[in-house]
Amino acid sequence: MTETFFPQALERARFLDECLQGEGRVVGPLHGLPVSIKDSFCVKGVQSTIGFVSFLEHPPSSSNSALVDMLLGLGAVLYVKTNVPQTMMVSAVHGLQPYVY
Amino acid sequence: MYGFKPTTDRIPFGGQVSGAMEGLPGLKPSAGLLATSLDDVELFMSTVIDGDPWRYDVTAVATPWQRVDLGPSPLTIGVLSEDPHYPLHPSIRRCLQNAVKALAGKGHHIVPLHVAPEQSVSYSNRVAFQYLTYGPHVDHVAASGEPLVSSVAKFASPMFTGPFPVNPDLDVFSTIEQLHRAKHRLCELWRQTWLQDKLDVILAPAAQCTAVPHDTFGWPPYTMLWNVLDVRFTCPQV
Repeated sequence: MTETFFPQALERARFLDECLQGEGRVVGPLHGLPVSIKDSFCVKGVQSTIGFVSFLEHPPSSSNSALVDMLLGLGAVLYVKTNVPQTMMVSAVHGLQPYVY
Repeated sequence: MYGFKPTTDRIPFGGQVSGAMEGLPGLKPSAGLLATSLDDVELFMSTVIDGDPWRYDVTAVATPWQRVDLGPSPLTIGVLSEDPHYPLHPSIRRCLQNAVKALAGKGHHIVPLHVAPEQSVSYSNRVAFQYLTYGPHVDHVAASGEPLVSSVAKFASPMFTGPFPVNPDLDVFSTIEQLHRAKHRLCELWRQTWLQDKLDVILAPAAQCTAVPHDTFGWPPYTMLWNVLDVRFTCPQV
């Protein structure tokens, strides 16, 4: 795990419980499902350092990635961002070429 | 565990952080998933795709999730042969042989694939490598003074299998054009294979080996082939 945001996840889970038990409704087909996402995805307020120490200088993400917004809209609980390999598994003989694939 | 790499431009990829320059011609990434059952893979795919991903990301096509009923007819299954430069470990070879035996036993038609050198795992991986390395490079690791992890420091690459597909001394635009032609030829050869052999699906190893000790994994040749191809063939049975 690279980033964790358990307090927010628990708050989200409580909100989803209230929707279901209190109001009898689901937010979407993934209601309450914990989904871990790779660190390259952006969650507002959380850093995306993608395995680079130098990226710690960047501020936390100011917005969610498209898929993150979709997962939240479908009712998922996001709680953690998981490791990506250093340089995203690509390095050239002549140096490093980080690439997302 | 089931890992699933969708066709590109289906699961919205946008809004991620990358260390690379964007918009350069190259391999298209795809956001896929790990799940503990095939039912969960289908739940995720159908839910996200039927959730109108085009509303969230301009790169996601607005085509609904296709629910397919294959029916009782047997499938024509092409089996990718082992690339001599990337031999399969006995466990993987055995797994593939067992799968072929089980499928043949159910009446499916098995076709061992004969691929030309220009559509091979080796060649396609060299196309991938050149695409991944021809562009400008920013060293985000050196910027902090942190060391490379040992698997990265080994600089695993597919270039031991042959030369660069395109002369690396060409100017950028010529490189882009020649790589485009090389990749197009590769895709065309696979299109012909798909049609001539009347394939419904290809069975292939995902890797040479099973899990390796931590921080020793290098280059992924058998999955890289499909990243380079990025084709949209469909099962003719459907």
